[in-house]
Amino acid sequence: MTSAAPAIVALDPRRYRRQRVIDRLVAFVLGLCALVVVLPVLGMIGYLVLQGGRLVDWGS
Amino acid sequence: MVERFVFLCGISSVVIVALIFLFLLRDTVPLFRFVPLAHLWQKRNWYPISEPEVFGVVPLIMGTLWVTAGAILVALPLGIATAIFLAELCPRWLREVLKPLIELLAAVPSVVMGFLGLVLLAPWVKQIFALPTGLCVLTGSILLAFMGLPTIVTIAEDAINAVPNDFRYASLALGATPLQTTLRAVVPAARSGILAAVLLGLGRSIGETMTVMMVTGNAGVIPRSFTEPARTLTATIAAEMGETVHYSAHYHALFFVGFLLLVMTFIINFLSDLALGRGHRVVRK
Repeated sequence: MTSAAPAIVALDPRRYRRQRVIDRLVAFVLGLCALVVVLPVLGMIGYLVLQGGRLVDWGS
Repeated sequence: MVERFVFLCGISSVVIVALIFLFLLRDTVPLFRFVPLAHLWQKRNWYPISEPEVFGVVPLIMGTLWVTAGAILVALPLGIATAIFLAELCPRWLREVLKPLIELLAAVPSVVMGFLGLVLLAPWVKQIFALPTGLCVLTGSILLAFMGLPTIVTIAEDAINAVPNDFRYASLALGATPLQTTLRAVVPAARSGILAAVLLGLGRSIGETMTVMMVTGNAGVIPRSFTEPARTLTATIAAEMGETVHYSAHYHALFFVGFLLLVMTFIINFLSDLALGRGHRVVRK
């Protein structure tokens, strides 16, 4: 899907550039939220594996 | 024959829910031989084994509401933002990594979640807020939020994906950027589905037992902030049902607590069904 925004806002390039920056910033924040949801899962798995691993005698 | 079998299967779940309702009601009613209804609402403490017994259910309801409200405050922005990111902005390869990880969160047993909350989250909460104990409403809320997130993300993402592409094309043709299209055309069109996702997540949070029992401190008093301990309806039933004398006032009071819980969950599910139905009608139009 191609937006008509560049063509329409070409009349006001500064506004278009500002909007692009805002878009990227909001997309970054949304991505960060997804990361915040996923990181605890990875941390949880890592913690359980690490603590479980201490139980095992790996040999020296 | 097949039609009749399918009908029987469908009707059986309705009958089972009705029977559960009647069963709870049957064991709740004898409570009013021991204590009047006003006692349950007016007392501000839950002391079931003191003399005389005090069965104030308000602290339990307030505990449940505090923990659930906290969970929704954490899960709502995170869940909706994640759903928007996955549905509209995320590259395909990243989506295929993130989605299974979020769904994995739903597969974690609540006792494991409570255990991790007990050994990891509670000490952090205690240290950050300088509290005497980390077992409080906040710890329970954060854990419940993460338990409800897979429900919220999955259903909200489905609702966003169900918005017809015509909405997107029309918005883009009018000069909106892709993100403006997402936030001002797609998300408002999917709001009923998103609301249903939040309400279903809320239902999950209210019904959760083991995690809250392990991390909220289980104090039967009305909490005044997120950093105070609380006791929820579910935790009370789980903690006390095994130890109570059968057919005593305490036994029937626990059934009354269960009845309250069922009514609360029923109302939330009914509201989410209503929201989902409205969403389908909007999309069909």
